[in-house]
Amino acid sequence: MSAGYRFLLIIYNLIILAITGSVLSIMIGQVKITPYLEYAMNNTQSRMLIILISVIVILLALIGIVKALSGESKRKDSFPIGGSSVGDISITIPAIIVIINKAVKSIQGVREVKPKVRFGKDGLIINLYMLINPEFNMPSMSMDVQNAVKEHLDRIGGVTVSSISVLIDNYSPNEKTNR
Amino acid sequence: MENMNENKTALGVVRIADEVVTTVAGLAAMEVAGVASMSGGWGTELVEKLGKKNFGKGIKVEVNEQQTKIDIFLVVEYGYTIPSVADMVQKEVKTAVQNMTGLEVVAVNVHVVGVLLKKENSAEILVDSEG
Repeated sequence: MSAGYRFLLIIYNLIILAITGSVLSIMIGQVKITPYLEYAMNNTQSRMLIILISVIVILLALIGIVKALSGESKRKDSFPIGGSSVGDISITIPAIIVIINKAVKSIQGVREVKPKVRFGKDGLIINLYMLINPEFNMPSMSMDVQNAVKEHLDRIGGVTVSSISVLIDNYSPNEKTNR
Repeated sequence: MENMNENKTALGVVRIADEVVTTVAGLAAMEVAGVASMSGGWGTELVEKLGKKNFGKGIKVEVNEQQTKIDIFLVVEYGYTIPSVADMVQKEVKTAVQNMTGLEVVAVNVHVVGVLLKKENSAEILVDSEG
């Protein structure tokens, strides 16, 4: 989200907050609307101000709708994996997560994994929260998972991995191996 | 009015709409082995579901004078090497757009927004939909 868009969003939300706050005050009887309404309708300056605010709110709402529909958000959270004179190549976190899930599924004993990915200075920083089956050796399984994830990301994604941390979140004693 | 690329010749002016460039780029990208689909916004996906096929989905074109910059958002099939697929997409799109429109393509940026797991019959396309 760009700084400009964020600023517009804040302005929009402040206006909406002011309008809904006023409506709420009127509805619960804290403020009598009639004198203000009469003043606003009889005063050209006030009417112009209200028209201006209405136009701004409509414009901001339209900008928000266009932004939401345009799919520009896809450019966010992307990680450069290459580039040449032709152009840049990048991959998004959701795509990286699919590769991680696939890599982890190739290791026996892992029942579930929740990957958290962020971009570090030297490459991807990955935290894997895992639910495992009990009959496997945790340190060796974790090492297998780390190697598989690194190998998959390197081979398929061409992504540099900085670190892979494994957290055994829980294990399921009642379940047999899933594969 | 729609954005147009203009080329003046001795006989007159040739105008190419941005939509044409995106369609050419989209078709060229889809022909590359390993590209599962292009990824448009959910608005584009919705329109497509309603029946209007959009070959320029997932393509953004910026034209300055005769120079063109193209951004491509795509989903890659699992099993293919992503940098190789992206590299091939860049080359194919650049060649196709330059040959068909005569525009000079200065950059083709490829953004891989999802990976399709095809073999498991459970299309797992994860596309970033957050702001």
